[in-house]
Amino acid sequence: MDEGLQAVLKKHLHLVDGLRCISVSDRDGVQIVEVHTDHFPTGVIKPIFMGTFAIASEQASKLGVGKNTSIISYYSGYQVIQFNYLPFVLTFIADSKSNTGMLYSLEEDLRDPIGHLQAAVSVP
Amino acid sequence: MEGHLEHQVTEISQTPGVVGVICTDPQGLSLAARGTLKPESSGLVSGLATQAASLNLGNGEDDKPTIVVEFDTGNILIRGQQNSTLGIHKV
Repeated sequence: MDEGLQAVLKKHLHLVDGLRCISVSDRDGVQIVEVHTDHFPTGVIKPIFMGTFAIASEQASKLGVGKNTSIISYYSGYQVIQFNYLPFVLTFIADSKSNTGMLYSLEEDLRDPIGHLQAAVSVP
Repeated sequence: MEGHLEHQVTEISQTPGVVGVICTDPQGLSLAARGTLKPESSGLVSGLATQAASLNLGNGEDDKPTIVVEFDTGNILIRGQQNSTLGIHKV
């Protein structure tokens, strides 16, 4: 299962210019699967960074406009797009000038494999 | 603020033969969409414009190409501008 998802993520890593890393972690930021390009500074994906999304998403869900599904963060060097698949978090890290719309549409292709992962850990 | 853009996009979408219109920002995020061109297509529309512009044959950065994507059922015309990209689906 893990290898299968890793292969799927690896295939998608090269579909958008500037995409550096795709990661699936749990709500505490513990990495489950991660693929990245060569020379990617892996320090960027520390658990504290990934874990913050779950808290931010939970708070954003309290704004009264429905459940928060994704957060896009722009930094000077990178952009980070995180999707709420709680208990999992899907993260794309790309160059700040990458096409955000294309990155965002990548998520549609990954919905099924991550859905399988969610189903595997859900308690009946 | 975006009223003028919305108005223009609506006007284009009501032109005979036009079944979809989309306008995106430089990051590929949808600004306005009508008909068959859904907001989810914004990244691809903007990406096509960017890739086509990179074919620029030394005509200067301001010379943006118009791309026609042909289907059996119609064409999608894509034109990138400095701060936006417009896609029009015609049948």
